[in-house]
Amino acid sequence: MNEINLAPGRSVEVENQFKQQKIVKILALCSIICVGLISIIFFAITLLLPINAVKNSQNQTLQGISQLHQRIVTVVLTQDRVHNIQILLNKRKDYPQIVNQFMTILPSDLTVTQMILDNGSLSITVTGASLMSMNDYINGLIDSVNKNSKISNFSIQSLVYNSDLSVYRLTFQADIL
Amino acid sequence: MEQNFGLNNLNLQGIQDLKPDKESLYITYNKYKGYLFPMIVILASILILFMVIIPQINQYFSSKNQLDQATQQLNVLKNNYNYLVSLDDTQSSSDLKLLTKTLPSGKDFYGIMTAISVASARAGIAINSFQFSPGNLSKLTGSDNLPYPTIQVQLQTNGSTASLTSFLNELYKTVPLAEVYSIKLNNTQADLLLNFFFKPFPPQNLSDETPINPLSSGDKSLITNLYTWNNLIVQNGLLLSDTQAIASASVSLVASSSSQTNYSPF
Repeated sequence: MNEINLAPGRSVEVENQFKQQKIVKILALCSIICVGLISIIFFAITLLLPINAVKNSQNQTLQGISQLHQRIVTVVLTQDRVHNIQILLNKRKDYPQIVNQFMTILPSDLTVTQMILDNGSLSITVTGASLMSMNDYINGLIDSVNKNSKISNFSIQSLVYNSDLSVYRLTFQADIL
Repeated sequence: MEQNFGLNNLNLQGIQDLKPDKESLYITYNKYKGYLFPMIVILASILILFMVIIPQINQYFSSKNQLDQATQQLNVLKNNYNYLVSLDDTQSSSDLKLLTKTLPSGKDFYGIMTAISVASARAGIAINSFQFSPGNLSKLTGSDNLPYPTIQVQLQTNGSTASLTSFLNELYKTVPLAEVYSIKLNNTQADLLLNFFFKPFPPQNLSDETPINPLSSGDKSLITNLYTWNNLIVQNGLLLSDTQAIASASVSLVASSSSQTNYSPF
């Protein structure tokens, strides 16, 4: 009875063991094949990267560029000059344009007798016999100053009548930004 | 003492019990020998994975990175090359000459004097006197290490306010680049302080692999605008050098005199 009962149990165990062994063998085979394949694939694609071709092309282009060195110098210096000139033109205070602005609205019977421009501050003295023209000029100044954003702190410093010479003297000051 | 001996005997017996005998080892080997080779293969695969494939993958990505960098560099070089090849030598050297006249690399006294002369002639103002202190001529950058060194010129002019304004306007459109520093006008006499800019060329650390950016449309329009400024002799959109200008002027003088002779009926 005991022998009959034990035999089938053993064969099932052996069968299971065989199955497990088979699975492990398949796993082993798969793992070695996968590893081999992956290794070959990466080796091949690394080998196929055209680094040498690109480097050769680089060298050829560099040789071509080295023959144009004088042009590189010209381009670099041109860019440097353009850059600096642009900075200076933006930085440069446009005094002539502002003085011009004050001069264009000056009535013909008024004359500029004094102008002082120093450190961004402009002071102009205008003389004339007509108070009417003086008034027109002041109105013109206010208009033009309001339109120009480069002028700040505009102020009329004095409007004096000189009875000896029978002339009016207007002095105004503005800061130029 | 006796008690100690007893303990030692017990310990030795325990150790002997733990030692596997040959028979049980053989049985275990027989039971698992079918797994042994596949397990060795799996372990070898894992070892190969860590020792070969992962470094291979890393190498692939580093090579790919290298290739990308090399391709980028190659593109930069090709762009530089194409740009340089397409450059017109005559035009670019004329542009550079113009820009160097506008912002000289050194103290350009001749340029300053001709600029004042040209601007005053155009404005119709008389220059009574002028004075400038060039400073140390061996120092290219001036006495102070400003980003834009200047040469200061003191002028005394005689003329109406309108002509003074016109002079300033002309000066602002004349090369070399100048800026009014101060004005003191009293009736028709004016004292002016002008700053003329210059800037030495930067040290040339040129690398072939640095990308060359073509001039922008803003830069080009600045150059085109500068060609219209005073104190320049421009012919066919190109700046003439002083000797070329003299030659061109003498040729036109001869041509005009010969044409006058030809057209004269007598």
